[in-house]
Amino acid sequence: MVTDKVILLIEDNPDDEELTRLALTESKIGNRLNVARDGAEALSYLFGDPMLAPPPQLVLLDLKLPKVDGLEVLRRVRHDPRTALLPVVILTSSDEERDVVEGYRLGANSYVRKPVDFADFVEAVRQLGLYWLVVNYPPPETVR
Amino acid sequence: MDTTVLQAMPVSASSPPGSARPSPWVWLHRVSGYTAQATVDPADRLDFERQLQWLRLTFLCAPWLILFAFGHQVVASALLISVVILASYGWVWALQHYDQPKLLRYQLGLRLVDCLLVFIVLTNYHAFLHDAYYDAVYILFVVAAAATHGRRGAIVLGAASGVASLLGRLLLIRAGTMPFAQRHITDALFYTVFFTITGLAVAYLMERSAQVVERRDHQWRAALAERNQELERTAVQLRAANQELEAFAYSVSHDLRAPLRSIDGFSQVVLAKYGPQLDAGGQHYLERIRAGSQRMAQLIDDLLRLSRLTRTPLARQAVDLSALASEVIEELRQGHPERIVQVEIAAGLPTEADPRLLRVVLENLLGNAWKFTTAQPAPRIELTRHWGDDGEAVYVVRDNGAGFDMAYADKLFGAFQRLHSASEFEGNGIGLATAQRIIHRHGGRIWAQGAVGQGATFFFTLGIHSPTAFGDRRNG
Repeated sequence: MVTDKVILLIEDNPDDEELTRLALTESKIGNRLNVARDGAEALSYLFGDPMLAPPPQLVLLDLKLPKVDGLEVLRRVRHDPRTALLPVVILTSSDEERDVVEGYRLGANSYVRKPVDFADFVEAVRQLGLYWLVVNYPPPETVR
Repeated sequence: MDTTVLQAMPVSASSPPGSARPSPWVWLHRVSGYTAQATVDPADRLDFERQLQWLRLTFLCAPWLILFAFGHQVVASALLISVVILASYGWVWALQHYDQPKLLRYQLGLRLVDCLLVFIVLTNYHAFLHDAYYDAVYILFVVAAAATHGRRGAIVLGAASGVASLLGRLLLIRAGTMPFAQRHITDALFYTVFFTITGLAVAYLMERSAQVVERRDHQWRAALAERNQELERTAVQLRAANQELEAFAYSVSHDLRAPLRSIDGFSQVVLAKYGPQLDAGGQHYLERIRAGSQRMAQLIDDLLRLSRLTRTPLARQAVDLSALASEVIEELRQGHPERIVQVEIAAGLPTEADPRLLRVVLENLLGNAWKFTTAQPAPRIELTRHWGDDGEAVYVVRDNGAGFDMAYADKLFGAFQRLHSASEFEGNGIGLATAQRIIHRHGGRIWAQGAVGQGATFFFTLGIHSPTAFGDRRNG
């Protein structure tokens, strides 16, 4: 069921977290949103007890995170066979070439620059949700 | 945010500082051939050698001309002078055509010739007017020989001459052509010592002058090294400054945009959820908050782009300016399909520039022309090229739009400088600053002419001078 699938948002900024939540609501995306507020929390979620932390259908990853950096999280996620195929979308303010290159090189599925304009942000989130939760065929549950 | 990295180029070693008149001893050293070896430039070396040989000829030929003429030995003198001239010019010729081993042999030959000439002079006792003149001639001769053969040559010649003179006199005394034998032997011994001492003295003077020149050379090299170190230090500082700038720009792109997003987002949420509870004024103010934050985001992006331009290296290559301009115009047309603008781009404008950066310049200039002709009923944009006075290619973008007041022409390229209010034309005033930055990085110039209501013309160069560089020919 569509609503079973969980979206993991890894974001340290509470304002951005709130806005993402509002954007998802605005786009009528009803999936549960779990939030990890820094890199260490994100890793403990992804590699922790599946009963407490259900594996997500989609991961929205910010790059500038405290404790463990976003790219490092991505590297570890791709390294572990349990999470290697997990769809990860980098959602960040930066459009620095080195971040884009490194993000793709480490195996991100997509790179999205967060727009300042809220209307654009809502539209971007809507498109992301529609694509990754509905249109895209996810990797099988057992491999994850 | 305006920093350029200096290329730390060391000062070239071609001209020593300190143009004070050198002392005569330094001059003597210079013409001795020591400096000729220190000089790197082969043309300089030849020059030295030529001066050297003129000196030699003057010192050798002049006294002999007089000596032998007075002694009525015209043929002998003519012969000897010819030999000297041939030897000297031969030496200059040999320098140009012979390699080192042959040159050494030639030099040895020259020395032998000189020794022979000395011998002849010294044994030609009866041709001399009087002893004092003879001594003067001899000293001049040793100096001239030293000029060609250096310190060792001076000593050798001195000693050899002394021995030769002694032998010569002894021979003459034996042959009985010299009366007062006792006196002549004393003379001969005296002259032997005298010639040797002269040779030594000349050698010593040359040694001293060599020291002076070496010290000066050392000072000059030390100054050069210091200057290079200074430049290196500056380069290191600038590199560090550039790195700091890059880190700053990076944090700007992350940290400044996030709060802006919050401002925009939450005011939008307030409008959406609580809009009905607000009156028109409240809603309007929220809109202005949003507009402000979006404008700031645009400014940040523009500033980031401007700062990035100074950081990326320039990749100059052959670029077709006409094709690039056509692409930019096509993008403008697609972005504003409702507008009909007549565009004339001169065909086949090859140039040499970084294609990405040149595109940014064209986007700015053509974009401006497009923007400022909005109010014109028959808008027209032109891109042409004409040749400057010194064969420099000058590219021209002309439009018949709103134009500008020439009184503010110098403000045109300042960052964030605008000559029209936002209500007339949108924009944040950074486009031309960006274009100027790029043009300057290419080594070119950019300037503008215009009149209010009569359009604007922008001129720029890319530091390209030869009209024939790309197979182009000037017309007329």
